[in-house]
Amino acid sequence: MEFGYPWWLRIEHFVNIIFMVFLIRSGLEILATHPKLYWNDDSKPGSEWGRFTRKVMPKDKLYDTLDEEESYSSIVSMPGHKMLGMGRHWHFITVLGWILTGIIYVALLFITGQYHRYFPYSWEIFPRAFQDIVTYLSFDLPPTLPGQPFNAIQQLSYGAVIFVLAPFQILTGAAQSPAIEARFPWFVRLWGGRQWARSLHFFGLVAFLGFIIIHLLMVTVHGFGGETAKIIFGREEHPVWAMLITFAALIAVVILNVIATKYTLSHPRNIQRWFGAVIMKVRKVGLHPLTSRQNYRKTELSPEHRVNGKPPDVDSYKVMAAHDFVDYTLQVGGLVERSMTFTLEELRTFPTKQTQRVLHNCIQGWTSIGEWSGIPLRQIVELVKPLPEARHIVFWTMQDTERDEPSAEGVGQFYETIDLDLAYHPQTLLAYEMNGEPLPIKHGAPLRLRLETQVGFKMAKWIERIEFVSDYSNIGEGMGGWREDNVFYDQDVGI
Amino acid sequence: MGLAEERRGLTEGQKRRVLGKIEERDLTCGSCGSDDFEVGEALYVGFLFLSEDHDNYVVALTCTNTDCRTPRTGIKLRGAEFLR
Repeated sequence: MEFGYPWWLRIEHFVNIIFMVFLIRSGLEILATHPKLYWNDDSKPGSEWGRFTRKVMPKDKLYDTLDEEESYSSIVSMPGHKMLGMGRHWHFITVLGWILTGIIYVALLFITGQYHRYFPYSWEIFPRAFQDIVTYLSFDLPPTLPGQPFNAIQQLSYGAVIFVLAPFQILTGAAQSPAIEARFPWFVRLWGGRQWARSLHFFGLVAFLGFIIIHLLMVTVHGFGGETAKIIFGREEHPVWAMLITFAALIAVVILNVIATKYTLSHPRNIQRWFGAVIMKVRKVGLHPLTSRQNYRKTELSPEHRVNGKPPDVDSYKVMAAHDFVDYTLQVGGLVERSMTFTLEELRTFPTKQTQRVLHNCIQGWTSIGEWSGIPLRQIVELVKPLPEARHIVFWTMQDTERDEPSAEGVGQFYETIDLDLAYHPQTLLAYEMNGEPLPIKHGAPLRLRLETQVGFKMAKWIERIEFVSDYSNIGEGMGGWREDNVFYDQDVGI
Repeated sequence: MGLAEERRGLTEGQKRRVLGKIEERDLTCGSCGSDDFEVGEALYVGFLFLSEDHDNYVVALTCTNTDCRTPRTGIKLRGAEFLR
C-alpha cells in the first residue's frame, strides 16, 4: 500500500504537539507540589530516590507537605507559581483531549491500513535498527525499509511511542487515582505500588522528552525542509515554505501557551469552573460509583504518616486535647429530621466500630498506608435521617487557615463538602483511632473523615460539626470546600 | 487504651510543681473562681503548634469545685518549670 502522510495524520500530528506541551508543563506543575519520588508507598521523608527541591525541613517543629511545595517557573510548568489546582485542571482537560485524539488516530491507522508503517513483521527489525543507530553515529543516513516510509529504528521508535509509551502513561496515570486504587487494589500492585506508578509515570515523561529531542534532531539531520514538508504538505515539496510554516506553527504554540498561562494565573476561577464542568462530569460518571475494597496487611502499615494541614493553634483546643477531648462534642445538623450531638466517648462506644487498612492518597502525590478505626459515616446519616432535599455533607473543622496554615493561600475556617452518596460507601469513616492508638493531633484528633476513594484534602480533620445541605454554592466562595475556594481544586477528586 | 502520643502522665513531684506554679501565678478557675485544681496529664505543644516555644506544655487542670460548670482548664508551662 501507499504510505504517505494523509491529511488526518498531519492534523493529528499538530494537535498532538499542542496537547503534549500542555501535558508536560502541567505534569511538572503537579510534580512541583511534592517534588520527591519514591519506590515505597510510605513516602517516608528521606526515602525518596528523586528530589527536585532544595528545601530542608525543620526537625524541631511540625511541618506539613504544604511547606515542602515548590514554586516552579511558568516557563517550565503550567501555570507555575505553586498552583497545583490549575496544574491539575490543565493536565486532566488536556489528557481527555489527548486520549480522544489518540483514539481517533489509532482508529484511522487501522481503518486506512496505515498502521503497517509502525508494525515490524520480522525479528530482522532489531539487528537492522541496531545497524541504523551505528549508521547515524557514523554521521550517515540509514536506508528506509523496503516499501516503508521509515528506516528500522524509526519504525520501532514511532511504534513504541504510539502503542507502548502512550498507553503506559495513561495506565500509570490511572494507577494514581484513589478511586481506582481503592476499588482495584490489584491494579496498583501490578505496577509495584502507588509510588512505583508515580515514578514510572515520571520516567514516561522523561521518555517522551527524550523522544521529542531525538525526533527533532532526526528531522534536522534528514533535512529540515524536506521532512517538515512531508508533515505539512504530505509530500516532500516546497521545503522553504514548509520551514516557514513550521516556525510559524511553533511560534503559535508558544503564543498559545503564554496566553493560556497568563489567563490561568489571572483568572483561575474561570479555569476551575470551565474545565471543572467537564472533568467533574467525567469523574462523577467514571469514578464516583467505585467503592473502596482495600484491606492492606498489618505488616504493610507505614511507620510514619506524612502530615498535611496543621492543628488548631488555639488554647481552647490545646486544653481540650490535654484532657483527652473529654469535652469534645460533635454536632450533626442541617437538613436532617433529627439534629444530634455526640461526645467522643459516645462515638468511641458506638457498637459498629470499623477498622480498615488503606492507602492514603494526598493530592500532592505522596501516599501512606494506615489503619483507621471509627464509625461508618452511614451510621450517623441513618441516625439523623437527611431530608429529601439534602445533597451534600459539610464538614466544618476547628482549623483557622490564616492562623494555622501560613503556607496555604487564603483565610478562614477550613471546611470540606462531600456528595451525600459517598457517605454510604462501606469504607467512609469518622475515624477516632489511627494504627490502634487514639488519633494523633497532627492527623486530626479527635475526629477526622476517611473517604478512601478521594484524595486526602477531602478528609477533613479536627472536625467540629457536620451539616447536611442541599447546595454548597452559598458557603464560602461556593466551590465546595476551603481548598476548592482558595486553591481551586475540584469538589470531586477521585483522581 | 493508652495515652495519645502527645500526652504524658506526671509524677506526684511534677504535679506538686505544677500546683506551685498555679499558686505563683494566682491562677483561678475562669468559670467559678476557685483556686483548687487537680493536676492531670501534660500535652507537649512545642512541636505541634506554630505559636508555641519548643519547650512548651499545656498541663490539664480540673477545678475541684463540684458545682463548677466548666471545670476543665489548663496551664501553659515550660518543661523546665515542672518536668524535673
